[in-house]
Amino acid sequence: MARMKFLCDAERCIECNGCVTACKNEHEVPWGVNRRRVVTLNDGVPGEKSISVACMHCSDAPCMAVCPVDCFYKTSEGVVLHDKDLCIGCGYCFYACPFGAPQFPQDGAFGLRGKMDKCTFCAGGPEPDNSEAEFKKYGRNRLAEGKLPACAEMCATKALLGGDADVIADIYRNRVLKRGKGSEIWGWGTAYGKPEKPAAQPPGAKS
Amino acid sequence: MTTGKLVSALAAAGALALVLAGCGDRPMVYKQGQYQGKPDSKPWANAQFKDNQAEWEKAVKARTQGQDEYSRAVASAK
Repeated sequence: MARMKFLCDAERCIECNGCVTACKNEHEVPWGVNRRRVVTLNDGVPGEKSISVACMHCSDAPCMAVCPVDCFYKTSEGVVLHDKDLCIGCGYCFYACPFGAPQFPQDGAFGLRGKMDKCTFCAGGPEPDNSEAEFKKYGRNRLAEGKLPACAEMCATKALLGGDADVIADIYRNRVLKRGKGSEIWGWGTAYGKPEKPAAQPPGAKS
Repeated sequence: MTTGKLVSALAAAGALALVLAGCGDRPMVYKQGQYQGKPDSKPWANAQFKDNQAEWEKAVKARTQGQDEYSRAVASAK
């Protein structure tokens, strides 16, 4: 059985926010709620690194442990989901989560905190698959269509990988072995390839 | 062995068993009735996959491999 995980390659992420946009568009996430976001370390300093962060679908999820109404569940594919009909919007999961994944819509008066919303690994929730109710509460269920999360599939540089943990770990390992390290990762040779033969010289020109 | 030593040895063994019990890994996979919310269906339990888990896993695996541009480059070069 697959164990679904995300993996973000900081060497590839270019902070384009394509994953954030893909997620927002796919699930029609309201203003103020960001299921995914890009975090940049040492922003503006040469050598800055960016990673895309959302719910990491923890194997031993702290949000599940602290929820007072027990609205979280983990699917057999390892995706952490929750039932919005049960959620009371207390925010305990937000305090417990090391990634800041749980989000709360605040569109009412007096700083009203709505029901928690988070990345579903594009797996919907406890409503009939691909139903209107599921889309309205949890967004699209791509997993039930045999697809992977929109953020990972839309990533232009393939920095963000999503899927079975063993498979994406293999992809990442293979990538790291092939690209080398340090200046071998990115540079002129990587972008344009090594010259196979010297450039043509005009007749009579001294080489 | 005196009775006192026997009792303390038994107590120590009991305490050790209790402490080690905390090292277990509790499975957190959803099973019907193990959480308070509504039941959820499997991603392959729909009209597209017709309850065929193997078919669903094949589709997801193909999608996952599609993220590996090294293997895609090799496949397209052939």
